[in-house]
Amino acid sequence: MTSANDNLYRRAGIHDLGEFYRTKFVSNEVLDERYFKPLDRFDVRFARTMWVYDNVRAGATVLDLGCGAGMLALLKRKGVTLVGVDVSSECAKAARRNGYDATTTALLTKLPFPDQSFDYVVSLDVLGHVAFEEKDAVLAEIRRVLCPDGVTLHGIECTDRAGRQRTEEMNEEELRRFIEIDGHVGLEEEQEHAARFREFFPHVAWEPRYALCLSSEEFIKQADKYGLPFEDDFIDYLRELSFKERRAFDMAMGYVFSKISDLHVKLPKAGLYVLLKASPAPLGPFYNEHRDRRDLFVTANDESISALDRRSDVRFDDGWFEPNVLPPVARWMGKRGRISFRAAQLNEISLDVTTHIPDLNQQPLEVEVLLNGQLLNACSVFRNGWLTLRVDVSAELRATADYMLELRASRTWQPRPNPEDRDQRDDREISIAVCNVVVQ
Amino acid sequence: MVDDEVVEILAEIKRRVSAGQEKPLSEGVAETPRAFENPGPSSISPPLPPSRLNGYAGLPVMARAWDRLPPVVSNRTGTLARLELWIKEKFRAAFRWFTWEQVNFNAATHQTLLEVVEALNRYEQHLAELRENLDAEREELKQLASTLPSLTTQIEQVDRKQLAHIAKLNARLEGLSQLAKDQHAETHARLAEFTAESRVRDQELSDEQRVCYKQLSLELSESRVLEDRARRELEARLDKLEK
Repeated sequence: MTSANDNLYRRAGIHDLGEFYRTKFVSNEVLDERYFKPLDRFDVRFARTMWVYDNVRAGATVLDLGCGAGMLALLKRKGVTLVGVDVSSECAKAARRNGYDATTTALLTKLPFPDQSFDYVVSLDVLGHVAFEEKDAVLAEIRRVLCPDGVTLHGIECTDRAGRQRTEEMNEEELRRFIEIDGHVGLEEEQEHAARFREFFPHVAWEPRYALCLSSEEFIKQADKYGLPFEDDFIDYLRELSFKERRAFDMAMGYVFSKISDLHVKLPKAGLYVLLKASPAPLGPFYNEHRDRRDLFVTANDESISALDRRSDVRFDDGWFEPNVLPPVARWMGKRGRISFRAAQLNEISLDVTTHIPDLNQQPLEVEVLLNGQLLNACSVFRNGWLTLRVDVSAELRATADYMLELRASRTWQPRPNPEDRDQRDDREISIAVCNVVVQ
Repeated sequence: MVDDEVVEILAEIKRRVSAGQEKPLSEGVAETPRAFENPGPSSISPPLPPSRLNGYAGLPVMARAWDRLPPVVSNRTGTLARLELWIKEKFRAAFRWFTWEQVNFNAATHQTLLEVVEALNRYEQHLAELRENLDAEREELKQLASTLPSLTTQIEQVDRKQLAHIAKLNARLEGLSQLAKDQHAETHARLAEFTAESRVRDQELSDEQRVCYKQLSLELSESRVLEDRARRELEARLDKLEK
């Protein structure tokens, strides 16, 4: 993460640290809070984000150390001023794109901010990437930029020294393979992290987490890459799950994760992950210190947002996949997808549509647009590329304020490049991508 | 005194001549120059090869002894002989002017003849060398003539090979030419395909750009509305605070 780590990274064959973290943490995933679905609060992928979300005061200033692509963008829902810093300029740009107020590229040992600038300094999956000899310098910087009554929140990857090999015991090849997975050059046990923080903060609380709840991807990764002894048949079962089944699994895991937090269930340390909270001032509750999730469920019709894609009161059902940067930001649809929204008046619906189905010349894609169950339009898509669809709404359909726009595609396509590739597990069946859904 | 010397020389000549009749001529001749060695530059030329000397054996004996006329001698004895010798002596003295000139002329002729002989010898040697060279060249020519048929055969074979090679090269050239034509056609086809693909891709990118700009435009207008709303809220709060 910082310059002194270069030796260990270089030994692992990683010469461009910024590029390494770009490939690890920047994808076409959209983390912008405007696209966040309330149901995703249960997704185990957002579990750490939700822990931070529930511990951050609305309207505060938050510094995200090692912001990556912007996993904490959801905090914008609470009206915080969100600043990100990352060693990779691409990560900083991605975070900015996802709604951070400001991002910068800097070493964590030399933060470019004045003393006592932030109410919260947060990091998720960062301190495990900081070399042992630099951790104290990073903590000193956190202490410096944190307000006197501020709180620093961290999700930190851990290790189990009794059960796993240390990096200093690894030969070159083992080290290369280990660091190449995630770039971990500074893994410590849970209590060691806590002990470090105690040197800088009088008040430290920590909870081992992820001993029980991992995403399906993480289970497979821990088994395959780190050699954790999960049951083989269970891992094989996870491998075979479809995209939607995996999402269901992750939702269940996330639900359990959040309930463990809500119920303050104490988990044993497992050498996987620790959530840590520290402050110069006395700490509040470890979980849900500032829990206020109302902003996750905006129900008011916010017509100032012209595109339905970004309106938090609009509901995209499960026929739609998560937004992606294609570009632009758009949602892929399965065979059919519904959008529920309210509109005071509705004369026209326009939306941009594209598809990546390869053989449109031989077999065009039929797309139907329905509003409240009535067919508004049907068209055939003969070519790839973006098309703008404009549909007039008839007078008899304008009688209500609640609408359900439905799109149907005649067929779907699985864009997975190599079905035999076990690491490429995206088996989504997609048809069209839609964005800029504007109602007038 | 001089006469005694001449007499001795003549005696020596006699001895030699008599000895030469018993020995092979070559031996005698070989020694001849020594017997008549002269101090002057026009003395006798270097020894001639035996074969050459045969024909000119008499010439060395004609060498003269400078200003000395041969002595007047007689094999006879007695008074008559002395008278004869005396008369001859007188004649020799009386006709010295004529004899001496004759001797000089003879010597010059002799010298000239020697030089001619020498030149002839050299010419003959040169001729012999030329003849030898000619023989050698003739021999060489014969040898070359004997190798000529095989060389001709070899040349014919090489010619045939070259022709075959040229034919092969021609065939290959034609093949390459055909290949080049095919590749040209293929390149054209690919270029056309690529152009068509590029056109489609351009169209797609253009569409993508249009949609991206549209999204940005929508977001911008949304931001403007939100900003305006936030500004109004802020102003309301300020008003409230002022009140």
